[in-house]
Amino acid sequence: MEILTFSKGHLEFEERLGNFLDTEVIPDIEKWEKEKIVPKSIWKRMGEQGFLCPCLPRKFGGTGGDFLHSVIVARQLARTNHNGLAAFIHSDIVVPYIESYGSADQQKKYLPGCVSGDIITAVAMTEPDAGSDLASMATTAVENNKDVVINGTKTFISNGVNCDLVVLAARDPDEKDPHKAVSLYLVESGTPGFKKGKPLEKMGWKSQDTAELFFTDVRIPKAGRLGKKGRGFKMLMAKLQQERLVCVVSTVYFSKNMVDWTTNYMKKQRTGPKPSINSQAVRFALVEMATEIKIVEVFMEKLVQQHMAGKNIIKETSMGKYFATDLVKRTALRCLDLIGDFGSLEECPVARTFRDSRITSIFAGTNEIMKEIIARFSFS
Amino acid sequence: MDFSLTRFQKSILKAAKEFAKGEFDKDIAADMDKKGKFPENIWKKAAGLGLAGVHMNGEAQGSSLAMTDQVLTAGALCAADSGLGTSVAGACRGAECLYLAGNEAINANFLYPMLDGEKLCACAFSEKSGCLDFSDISATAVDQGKFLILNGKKEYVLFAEPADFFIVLCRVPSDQAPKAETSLLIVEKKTHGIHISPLGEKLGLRMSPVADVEFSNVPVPVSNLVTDPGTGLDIVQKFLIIDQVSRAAMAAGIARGAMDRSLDYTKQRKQFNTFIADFEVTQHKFADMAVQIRSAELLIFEAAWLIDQGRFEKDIAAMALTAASMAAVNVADEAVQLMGGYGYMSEYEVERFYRDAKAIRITHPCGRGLKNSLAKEVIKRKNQWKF
Repeated sequence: MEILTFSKGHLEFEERLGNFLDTEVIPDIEKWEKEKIVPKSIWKRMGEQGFLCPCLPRKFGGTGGDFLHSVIVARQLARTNHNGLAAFIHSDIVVPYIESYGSADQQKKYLPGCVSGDIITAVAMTEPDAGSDLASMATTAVENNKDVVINGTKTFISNGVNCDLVVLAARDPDEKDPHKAVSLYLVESGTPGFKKGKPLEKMGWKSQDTAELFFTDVRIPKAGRLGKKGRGFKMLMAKLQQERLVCVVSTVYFSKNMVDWTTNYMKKQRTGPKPSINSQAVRFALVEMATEIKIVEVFMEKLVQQHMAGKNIIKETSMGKYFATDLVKRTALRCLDLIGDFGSLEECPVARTFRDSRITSIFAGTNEIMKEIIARFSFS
Repeated sequence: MDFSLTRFQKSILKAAKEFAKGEFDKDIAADMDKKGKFPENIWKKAAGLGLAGVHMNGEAQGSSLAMTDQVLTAGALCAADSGLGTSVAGACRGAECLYLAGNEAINANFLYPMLDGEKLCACAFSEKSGCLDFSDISATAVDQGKFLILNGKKEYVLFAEPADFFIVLCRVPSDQAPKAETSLLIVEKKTHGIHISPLGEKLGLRMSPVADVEFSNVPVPVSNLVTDPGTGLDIVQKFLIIDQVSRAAMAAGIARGAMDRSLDYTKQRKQFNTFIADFEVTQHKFADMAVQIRSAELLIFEAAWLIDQGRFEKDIAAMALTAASMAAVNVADEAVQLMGGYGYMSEYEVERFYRDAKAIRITHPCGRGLKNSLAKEVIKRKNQWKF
């Protein structure tokens, strides 16, 4: 029934990644969850092993893999049941901006480091007062003959503390049309005036260094602009398809893992003398969840296939993002219902997935925004 | 049928709200939640004011609340803060058992100090987590003259660590009842032979810590027998009904608190030049929340009123807890969504309300066990709806 075909090479990549995560990532997750950040060294190790930016062409220092490698990374990272090492944000969301819109100099300067893990990236769009309504962003970038001066605050930025390079969206205060005002800039960590906040305290994604970023009279050379002036909004919209698709892929695998874990738990647990899995209510609940996930998985694979063929599937991806992120939340809630008391303890892995997955229907465009997009594409 | 609150109820509701306003602090709550600590000082103060979540039908000293009053105060405390509210209103749950048993000597030594916030207890009933049926418990206290020697293992005991004493459901074999009928026994924490294994960090209700407790040859004075052998289970069954209603009240309070916070937020947060509260879909979400909360509350009031009438009706209590815990999860979930990225941040509290709501929903007594027992009652009724 699978739509995607993974080659021997893909599966070897997956096996290598799986082994790597087993030995170098999974044993440290509890520690990272407490420390609210993952060490930069693990990014470096991921890079050394060829697990960062696996789709980047060889001419940029990548391994030239296809998007199925990203699917594999999402599948394997879901297995670790944490989100601190958010490699897909770097590999599939931020780096593609540089790959697609960067000048030859920018590509040469940054992409090899992005592959090796020496440069960790973040994308800064959201602001305290501009979430869903991106066009209302207040961060300004004033360009003169030789440089750009940036002022503003960004929030909820993944990899916000670890990042070495930020793809920043900011507006030209003189341009009144908000859709033409936004440009993208590459801001390096350490640039005077660029400060990072502490990792934010949140429900889940505990080991992810999501943070606020502050820009006060940050001066970068004019060559630090990414792409054409005023085209920021278009570039963001163009890249959101892949960003949202990765959310769909990831949440499908997180959902599957929860049902697998819960199924095993219900086999071991007893209700009276019998295994809990013998209960009809338990069996139906597990079957319903597995069915829903299977249907969404097939849709997800279709989306991946179309995306790889270069199709514009913004509407369908928005449908997938809304449905799959609601599904992962619903699945977590239902699995916890079946697990009962043990589910209320952090020792239960589903408890963490429940906390972690709750953000997915909010980030990368809330599901309300997804429905607005789908409606716009469908009815006008 | 009169749905209005009495003057007394209005005044205690006000007192509970004022207490929470004065004593509950957002930062303290976030800190206690993170550390998984029981807010002992706040609980003591609440107990001193009769707000520690015990109903005594106006009989005992220290608290004069009826169940219909108690659900109001518990709800108000949990609306103010889901974590502090549930731990303050839930810490004394065992007092209900002692009150039901009505043993004067025990009450003087254990119940009244508990009502004054001097002693905290933990109910050690369940031996199998998630199981509502206590008829096959195996913890046993053997009479050795002056002392009973207690052996047994209890699972998922709330407040085991901060408690000063345990109320243990166990079997006490005697010549008359060789089958060893159940009884309730008070075991002071300081007694040797008690081993407490904390169950670690929790998903929600973190201020109500939980542990497994093992009793190995624990000597307990005979005078600590709360009930005559054979009546323990009966009291626990009644207690469970009270407990379900009071947990339902907490859940409904959590739902209200989450809704209030998301209302405040969406009324001041603008996106696309529109207050989020002004979007049609947002307004419908609030309408749905209100329906769920109100229906749960009406069930809770009926269930509480039945208890005040001396009618311990399993099904209404189970319905109240089912409806309220579902409402709490749904409403808190929607509150998180309405508050977007901020909803996911601990500073904005609703993520904690959501976790606490889910913890009430899945922990004992709730979930499949509760549904099974409710289903039996409903089917037994054969369309004969009683009111």
